[in-house]
Amino acid sequence: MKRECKKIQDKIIDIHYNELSDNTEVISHIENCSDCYTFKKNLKLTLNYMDTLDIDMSDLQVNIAEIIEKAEQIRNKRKDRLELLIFITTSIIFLISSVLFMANLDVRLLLYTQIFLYFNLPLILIPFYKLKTSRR
Amino acid sequence: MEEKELIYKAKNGNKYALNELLSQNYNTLLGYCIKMTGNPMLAQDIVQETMLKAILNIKNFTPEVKFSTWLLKIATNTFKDYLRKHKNIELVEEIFSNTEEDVEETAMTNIQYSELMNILMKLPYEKRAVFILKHYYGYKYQEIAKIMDCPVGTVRSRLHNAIKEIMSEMGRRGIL
Repeated sequence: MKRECKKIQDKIIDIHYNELSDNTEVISHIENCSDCYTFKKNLKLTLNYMDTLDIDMSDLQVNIAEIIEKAEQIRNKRKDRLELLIFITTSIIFLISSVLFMANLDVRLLLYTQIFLYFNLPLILIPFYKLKTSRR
Repeated sequence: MEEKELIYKAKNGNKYALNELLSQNYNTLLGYCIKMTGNPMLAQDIVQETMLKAILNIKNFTPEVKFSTWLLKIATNTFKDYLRKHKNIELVEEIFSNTEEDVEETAMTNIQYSELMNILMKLPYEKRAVFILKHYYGYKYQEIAKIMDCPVGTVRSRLHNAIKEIMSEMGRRGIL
């Protein structure tokens, strides 16, 4: 096949799919080239045949509500895993800092800090938790 | 309700909107998957997987493209992953159900369908996807490039090659 014919045949496909508007070159070539003329005819026939595959398959149904539920479960699992990871990290940081505190500073200071935290932490955490759950 | 409104609500966790959005695009997605896989049962699995991924990532969806385009992109990647894991796909030969009156006609349609599906399945996955998106869904080259994550020139050459391969295969089988 001539190189020019290959180019023209590519253009014939582009024109068929409205990707190329200027078809003057193609028309003048087709008038003098039987190969490209046959290609154009066969292209139409081929694509008409291929339309047979475009059939209605609406009897194959999936339960979309079930998929949404499944996605919700996956999302919750991921969230739980993240929260657990945050909890473990925070606990480790807290334990390490307590040990360091005891080793390097006065133990009494640590006790006062602990007492302060036990009394005041709920005042911060409970409203924070309420705010978070009301957003959900 | 308009698509934009549905997307906005779905992003904010409205299950009804999400259901509606997926239902509206179900047939497009299923049709695409059937043509890509040549197997309705496998297509159904790909559709389910695609929808699951879409729901989980709905917050990342930007309305620069249509929702259906986004779904097709996910389906394309899901099928690509499937192909990586499973090398062989079984082509389903019978697709039309037949009633007693039109047995002959259904048989003919089945033969033609399986023959054409065979030809389509012979194409490499990338060329097949480009051909399906162009021929059955009328996407522009640029849109296909976005779905397939490749340059427009590649889409163009893949389409040309796909069609030429289909034509030569049809000629070889005496269909043309």
